Amino acid sequence: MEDQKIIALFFARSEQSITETANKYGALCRQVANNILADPRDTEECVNDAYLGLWNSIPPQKPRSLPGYLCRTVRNLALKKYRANTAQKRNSNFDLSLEELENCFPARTSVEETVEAAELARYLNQFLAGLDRESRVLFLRRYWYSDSVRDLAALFRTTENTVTVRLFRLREKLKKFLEQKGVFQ
Amino acid sequence: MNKQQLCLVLDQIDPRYLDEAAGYRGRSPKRAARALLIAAVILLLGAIFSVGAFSAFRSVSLGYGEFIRPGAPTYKKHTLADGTALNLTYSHSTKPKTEVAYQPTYDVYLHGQDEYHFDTRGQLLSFYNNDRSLIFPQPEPIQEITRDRALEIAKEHLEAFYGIPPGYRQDRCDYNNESYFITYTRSLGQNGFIEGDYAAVFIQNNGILNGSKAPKPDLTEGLDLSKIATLSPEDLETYVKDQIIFQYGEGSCLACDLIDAYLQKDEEETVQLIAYTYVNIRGRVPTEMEFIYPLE
Repeated sequence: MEDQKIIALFFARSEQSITETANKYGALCRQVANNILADPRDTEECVNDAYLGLWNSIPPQKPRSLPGYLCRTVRNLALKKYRANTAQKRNSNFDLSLEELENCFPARTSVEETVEAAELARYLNQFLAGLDRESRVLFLRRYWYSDSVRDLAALFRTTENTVTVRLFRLREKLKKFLEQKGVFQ
Repeated sequence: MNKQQLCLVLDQIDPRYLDEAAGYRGRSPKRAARALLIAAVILLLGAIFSVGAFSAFRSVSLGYGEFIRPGAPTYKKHTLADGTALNLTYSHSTKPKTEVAYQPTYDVYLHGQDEYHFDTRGQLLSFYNNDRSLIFPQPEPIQEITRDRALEIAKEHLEAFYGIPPGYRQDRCDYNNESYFITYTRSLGQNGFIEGDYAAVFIQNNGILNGSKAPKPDLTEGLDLSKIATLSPEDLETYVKDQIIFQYGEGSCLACDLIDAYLQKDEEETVQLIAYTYVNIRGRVPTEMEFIYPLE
């Protein structure tokens, strides 16, 4: 079913909207949540919460992109749960992907950083806009969706080594880009 | 920047890009078709070269001025001194000694029964009939050459064919504002002929030898051995090149890839790239027989 029709079902308060959303985007949602939580039960709970979140927020919200909106909801819920679950525990894909990326951004001691984060995000979006499609997808699947290198190798039909090397280059490129923007000064 | 701050940044990524990533379903057919096209062009070029100027490098001399190419058997008639006509089947197969380095074998069969032997240089040694008596021909004497002369010939050929003197070749590669020197060492065997083209590769930065040894047996690591074992040298070369093209794209810098892999302590990747380099050159290495020829 087309996304616009699913959104229309939400507006009509039809429970069919949840079923259609789950049919179409359930796997993607579970992947996003599981990459962060690494626990099937937490993942399922998180995805169900996201459906509920959608039910409660649409209407009045009318997302331009249903999958984007849904994934963001799932991710935020998963992050919330992750923080609650794991004080010190190190989770696999999520932690690994963020640790890879951490060094690309400057360290900050105090966090009046909401503004700075917005500035950094602007640069990051500029950086992403300058990448070819495949590199951009690779970057986001790793650092936003927290996909494992193995999954990415399967998605891009290449080897894990190649994915690792490409990600390494992308991080280096990002770092250089941010340096040029004076972020590290 | 800690993870929480990082998440704050990531949360503000343009949703269009997130949609794009969420909807990505693998490489597009167009891109796959392009890769196939590249592979086809490589195969075509290989076919052209195999019948063109380079064919001699891939053929085996029978020692009588005749060459056979690897692949399908060649049938030839030969007349003995007493006038007996023989139908001989020459087959030049390439059997993997290791999975990457090839040991060519030169087998010629008289239909149905007898044996016909060549030595490792491709020189005809003997031909026995089914009662093991030597019937054809009297082996031509293997030309005796000194070790020094053999080395000299090997050097001449190596320099002439691809400009890499035995010993080492050093490539400079500027990468991340630093200069790296990649040194390939080439060993010569006991008799002066090539045994292992690249015995070792070193990556050197700012005069400090970091060292990344890859002895010849390790070259097999990281490649699909089961597949390689079934390939001829030409197909192997194509296969490895295809792998590189598929993985790194056209025009990618092999040296940069090598440094990348090395810096990441990715031994498998490093070895794979070395193996690629090895095979790439190996495909153009004259056979041992051809080293003999200039003496004749």
